[in-house]
Parts: sequence; C-alpha cells; structure tokens
Amino acid sequence: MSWWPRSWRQFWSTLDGRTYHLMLSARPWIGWLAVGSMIVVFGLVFWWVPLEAIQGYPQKIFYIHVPSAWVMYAAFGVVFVASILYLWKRTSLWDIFARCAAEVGFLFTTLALATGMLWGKPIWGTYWTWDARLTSTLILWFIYGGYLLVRAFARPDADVARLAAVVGIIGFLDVPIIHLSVLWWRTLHPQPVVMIIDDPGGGLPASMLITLLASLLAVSLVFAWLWIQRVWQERTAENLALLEILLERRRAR
Amino acid sequence: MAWRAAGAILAKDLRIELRRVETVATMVVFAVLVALIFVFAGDPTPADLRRLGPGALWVSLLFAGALGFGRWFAAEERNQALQGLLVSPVDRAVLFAGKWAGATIFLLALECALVPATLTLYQIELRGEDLSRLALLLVAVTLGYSALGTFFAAVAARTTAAELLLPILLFPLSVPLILAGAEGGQALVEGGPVGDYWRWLSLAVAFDVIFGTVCTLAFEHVIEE
Amino acid sequence: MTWYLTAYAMFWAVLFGYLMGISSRQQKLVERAEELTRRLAASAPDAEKGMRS
Repeated sequence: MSWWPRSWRQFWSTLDGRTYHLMLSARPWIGWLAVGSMIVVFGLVFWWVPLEAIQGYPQKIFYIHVPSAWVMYAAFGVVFVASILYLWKRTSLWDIFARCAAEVGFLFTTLALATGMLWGKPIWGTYWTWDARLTSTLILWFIYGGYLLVRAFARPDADVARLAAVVGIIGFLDVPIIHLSVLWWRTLHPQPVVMIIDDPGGGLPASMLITLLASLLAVSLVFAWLWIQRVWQERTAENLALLEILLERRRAR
Repeated sequence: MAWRAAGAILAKDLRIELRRVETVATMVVFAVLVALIFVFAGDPTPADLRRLGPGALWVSLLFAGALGFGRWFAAEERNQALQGLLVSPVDRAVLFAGKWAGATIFLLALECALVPATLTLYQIELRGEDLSRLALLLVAVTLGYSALGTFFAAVAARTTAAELLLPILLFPLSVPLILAGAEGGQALVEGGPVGDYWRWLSLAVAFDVIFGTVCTLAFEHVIEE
Repeated sequence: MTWYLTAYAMFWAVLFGYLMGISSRQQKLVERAEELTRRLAASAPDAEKGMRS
C-alpha cells in the first residue's frame, strides 16, 4: 500500500497528481467502453426502442438531448470544483482540469441547444420557444462562452488561471438562481397556446428508460474520454514548454 | 479601521465624480435615450407601453451600468492609481466594499433621473405605496448589479478587450436581477397580486447577499498580480 | 423521421469534428516533442556520454 497517502496533508498535496495518473490509466478503458456503449446505444435507439405513441420519430432525439444536457451540468460542476481547488492549491493541473472541462462542456451545451431546437421544430412547430429549460440552457451557454473568452483575451501579464477560476466559480453559483428565476418568469405568465408536451419523465416505459440510461452512460464516457485527452494534451504541452526553456538555457551557456 | 478605509475609497470616488459630473450625466442621457429608442421597436399603444415600461427601464439601466462600471474601474488604471491602492495596508475586501458602495451610489443617482423620465415616457402613474415599493426594488436590484459590475469590470480590465468583454460576462449573470426588476416592476404597474412583487424582491435580496459576499471574498484574486 | 435523423447526424458530425481537432493537435504535439528531443540530443554537452537532462 505504498501509494496510500500517509496523512491528510499528503493526500491533499498530491491529489492533483493522483487524479491525473488515475485518469491516464483509465483512459484506454474509458475509450473502448465509450465506443462499445455508443454502438449499443445506436442499436437500441434505431432498432429496439418502440416509437412513442404521440410524437413518433422526433421523440428519439430525447436520447441524445438529455445526455448532452446532463454532461453540460456535470462539466460545469468539474469547472467549479477544479477552480476552487486551483485557488486553494495553485498547482497548474487544477487549472488544466477546469480549462478542458469548460471547453468540452461548451461543446455539449451547444449540442444540447441544437438537439433541443431540432426536437422543438416538429413537436412545437418552432425552433425556439421560451421554455424555462431551453432559456436557462442558452444563458448557461453564454456563461461558458464568457469564461472561454476571458481565457482567450487575457492580457499577457495577467494571471489567467486565477482570473478564470474566479469567473468559473461565480458562474456556477449563479446557475441555480438563473434557473429558478427563469422558471418563475415562465410559470407566472399565462402561457401562449402552443402544443406543449412535457418531456416524458416520471411515467417512462421500461424500454425507454433503459435506452435513456444506456445513452446517459455512453455520452458520459465520451465526455470523460475527450476531457482526459485534452487534459493530457495540455499537460504535455506544458512539459514541452518547460523542456524548451531548458534547451534555451543550455544553448545560452 | 476597515470601515474608515472603505469610506476613504468611497469619498475619493465621489469627489472625483462630483468635480466633473461627466460619467453619471452622460449615462443619464444615454439611458433615457435607450428607453426612448425602445418605444420605436414597435408601434405601442398605451397598454403596450405600460406592459413594456418596467422592462425598458431595466434594459436601459443595464446598458448604462455596463458603460459606467468599465469607466469607473478604468479610472483606477490611469497613473497606476490601482498600484497605489494595492500597496496601501488595506484588505482587498475593504477595497471592493468601497468601490461597490461608490458604484451603487452612482447608479442610484442615475435612477433618480431615469425613473421619472421612463415612467413619463411610458405613461405610467404610480401612487404612494407602489412608488415606495418600486424604490425598494430599485435599491435591491442596483446593489446586486453594481456588485457584479464592479467585480467583472476588474476582471475585464485584465483582458485586451475590456469594453467588449464586460457586457458579455455581466449580462448573462445578471439575468435573475433583470427578471426580478422587470417582473416585480410589472406586478406594481399592472396592479397584480402583491405576493408576486414580494417574491421577486426576495429573489433580488437573496442575489445581493450571495453575490455581495462572493464578490467581496473573491476580489483579491482579480486585482492582484 | 427527417428531424430525428438530422439531429443524430448533426450530433455525430459535431463530435467527430471535435475529435479531428483533437487528433490534429495531437499530431502537432508529437512533432514538437520529436523536434525538441532531437535538439536536446544535439545540444548535450558531450554526445558520447549520452543525454544528461
């Protein structure tokens, strides 16, 4: 048990490195599992799961829309936790974790919005409605975008990692309040008369539930793999930059 | 000690602003202009105006605020005034409290002109009790908005596209405040149930408490190098 | 039917596009690493003793 930390202090001080190594050793497993489960989901969605009685085919968008939205929240959670740990520990790995989660999370937020719109058109008759969930997803997309823009436009002399960490923390804390306010805004108003079909949630038949759970797992695995791969790339780029400095010094000597 | 330091920063900001009334005065003109242009967006009847009024008020306040926060913070960057503040033996939280109080007072001063102008333009008449409720709502929303505004002006100042990035960061995060202001205000104008108004007011107050605290605590990470 | 196929096609296209982006980044990283290794080997104080980095 030599890898077991001897004290809490040691545990905390090496948590980023441990997490990183765990991620790297799990990377091939996650990759193959992601590919395999995606193939299974493919089969389930296209051949196995029965059509929903009222909506028909468009309802199948559900199986990629909901997982995208779930990954969007999960990624924002990772940004939040990693940002807090970065401000506390100040090791660049935490910053890399947050940065890569935000990048991949932004991708999935975009996918959640796009699939939501493509679902809305045949069912609601319009690409966009000011539905509470759709609206707060759009706002979340802007917050993610702002976070990435701060990173992209930071002045060379600024401490980007610290700045972005603070933006990530405040953005995350705002999400539940935004959601609540948008929910009140929509429910206090009389709704315009469009055909509104609630997402099937509680009374989901077993076959649909199984398909949903499988695709939640598959999309989460895809997210995890993309995130780990990006983290590895950023870490490697950092090491290469260090190596380059070393070389410059050696040449100067 | 901390209170005196925050007070000194606030007094300095007020003195600068009073000497040349440029920013707040320009912002009043700008904000009223936004409220005016809002009317041109449609062909509103008096009933439409009453419905749009509170929303237009908050939109113009939001735009004017976003301009103001950037300018007030940029004033600290000139002649390395910020470095002077940073080397003084003052807690960063106190520094933020001073700047926050200043921004709130500027915005409230702006509202003193903007609110009567908007209410007149949108043909809205409010009586005694409703007027004081609107004032309460204004204070609650302004406190939260200026906390976020001061904070993100400091964040944006660390980037190369400050004046562009500030609204992009600020507006999405202020959505609960905009909704609280617009919906709470509309409950007053339309004479809706008072419960709606209190609900939105309490949301704004909760927002103030949460983000007032978080921004104050996190400010040190934004201004220090 | 078309809506759902469009949504799935788009979902896969976007993920695949991102994956291509990742792999081109990977390519660049590998090239840079190889170049740096070569320079490191060339700049070693005495090549006979091998690298002492």
